[in-house]
Amino acid sequence: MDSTELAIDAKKLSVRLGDTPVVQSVSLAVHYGEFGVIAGPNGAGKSTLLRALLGLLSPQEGSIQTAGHALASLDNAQRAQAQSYVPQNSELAAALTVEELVGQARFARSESRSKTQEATQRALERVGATDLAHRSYLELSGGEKRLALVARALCTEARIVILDEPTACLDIANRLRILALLRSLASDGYAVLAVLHDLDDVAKFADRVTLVHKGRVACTGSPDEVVTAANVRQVYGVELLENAAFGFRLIDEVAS
Amino acid sequence: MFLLLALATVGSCGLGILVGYGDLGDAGLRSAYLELRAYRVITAFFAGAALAVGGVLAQGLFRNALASPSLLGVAAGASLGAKLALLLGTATLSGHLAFFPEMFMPLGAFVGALFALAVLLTITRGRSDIIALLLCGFLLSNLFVSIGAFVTSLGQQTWELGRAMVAFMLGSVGGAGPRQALLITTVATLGIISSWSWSRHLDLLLTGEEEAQSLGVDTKLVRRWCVIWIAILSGAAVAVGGTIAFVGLVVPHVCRSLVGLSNRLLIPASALAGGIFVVLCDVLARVISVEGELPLGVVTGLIGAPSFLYLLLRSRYMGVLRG
Repeated sequence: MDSTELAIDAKKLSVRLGDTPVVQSVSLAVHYGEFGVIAGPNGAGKSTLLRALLGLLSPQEGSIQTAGHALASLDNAQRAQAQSYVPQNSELAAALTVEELVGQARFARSESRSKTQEATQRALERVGATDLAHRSYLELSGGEKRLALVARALCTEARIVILDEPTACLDIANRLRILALLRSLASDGYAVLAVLHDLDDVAKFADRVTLVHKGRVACTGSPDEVVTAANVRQVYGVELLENAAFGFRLIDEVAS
Repeated sequence: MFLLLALATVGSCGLGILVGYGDLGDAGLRSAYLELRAYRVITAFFAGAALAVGGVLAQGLFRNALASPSLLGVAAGASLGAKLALLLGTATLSGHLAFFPEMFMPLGAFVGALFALAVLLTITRGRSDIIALLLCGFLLSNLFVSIGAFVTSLGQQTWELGRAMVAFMLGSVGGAGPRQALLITTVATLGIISSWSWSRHLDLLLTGEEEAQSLGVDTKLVRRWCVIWIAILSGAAVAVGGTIAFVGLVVPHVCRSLVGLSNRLLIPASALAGGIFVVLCDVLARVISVEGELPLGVVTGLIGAPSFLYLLLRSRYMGVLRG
């Protein structure tokens, strides 16, 4: 994919839940090869925006282009092949193995079982989770579950990956591992769009940030442009402490 | 596993034909006995298969191992339909028809099931959440049970009618004839094949509606067809066998431990196991003599409830579907 090509292009989206306007005239774009982030305080409308971008909610106004197609014109199977979704937690209510869970990603394709197995194996290798293949998803730790869900998203072979708070409730090491994986996916040409809360993570890993506040875009741009003391004060109502860096990185990164 | 189930099917059906009231050594009556028992075994087998597959669909739809076809209120609707058919039939048609007109009550039950389904679909039309479906089903079920109790109380005014209604509630395939067998065989076969065609969709629904949708499943369509087939399968089973308890709840559970969670295997395995279970329970009902026969629903309940409790206590995650 050409890295200048738009993967997601949402224009002036408005979504109401009942009578409440939750997303108001939001525009957002993500290119292939880019790690885009939606950030903002709780209740800002991030998850609703994400669900609209996934086609799970119909916006009352605005348009969404996904992989060059109007999202509304795609049926479920076409959407599943154009973009993949990583929920914060799977609502899985069955003791499926990771391999079975990841293999579900091939539903929209008519293919042989061996092809599905190959694709599953590739996806698990890509996220470094081949050792989890035969374990029950329900028995995994939070970090392992997140890896399995990313593997399922990659197994669809969609080049757009949308994630809802992929680092929520993870310890530091797992958080960094997931973010490094998303960063590497963007480097491989995927369009990655995630809802993230931690502004340190946003500053370190994202290419582009859309800061959402009260259902509207407060500002958008590179992390340097968006994560500023003025914006943080305006949107979150907190002070950004300059020169108070308290950062972590993975030991593998230090060694290399 | 399927070979074992096929052998068990042949064995249980054979037993069902050989065991029962009447001496097969009597050459004059042998063929009549065998014929009656054959209809009874066919009806029991397909009623069990229909209830078990209805259970698989209900548990897949609600993503909960504690779900059963009765949750949608359709079984209660079928039961009400059967009782009304008995009541109205006796009131308006007595003298023109025999007291147990062969298909009057089964058709009443089937119409009752379809009516309950129509009400459920109308109420939940346009609503996308599964909880609304569950609550509406639950409320409808209670409503139909209450009306059914009222109809039963009316029926008590005539001893024979009241007895027939109670017998229906306790479940039996004792009176099954060729038309009942034909009804349940046709409906169950169609229902099982159609349900099987939704098996991959149901597999994905295990992850929740939004995830399934994001993976390409038209969840609304799947839900609608599952509800329709649960209603038709359980309605047909109630129509020919009355209230046969626990089959839709227990059989899918047992089958998951035999063939795993994939609905492609689970649906045919449950169909066979449900059929075997009800045929064997019917044999037991004939063998354990308590002033005639023990009601079939009592036998399935006496075996089903403790088995289900055992499976629940053994399960680490209550309500989670496990292979």
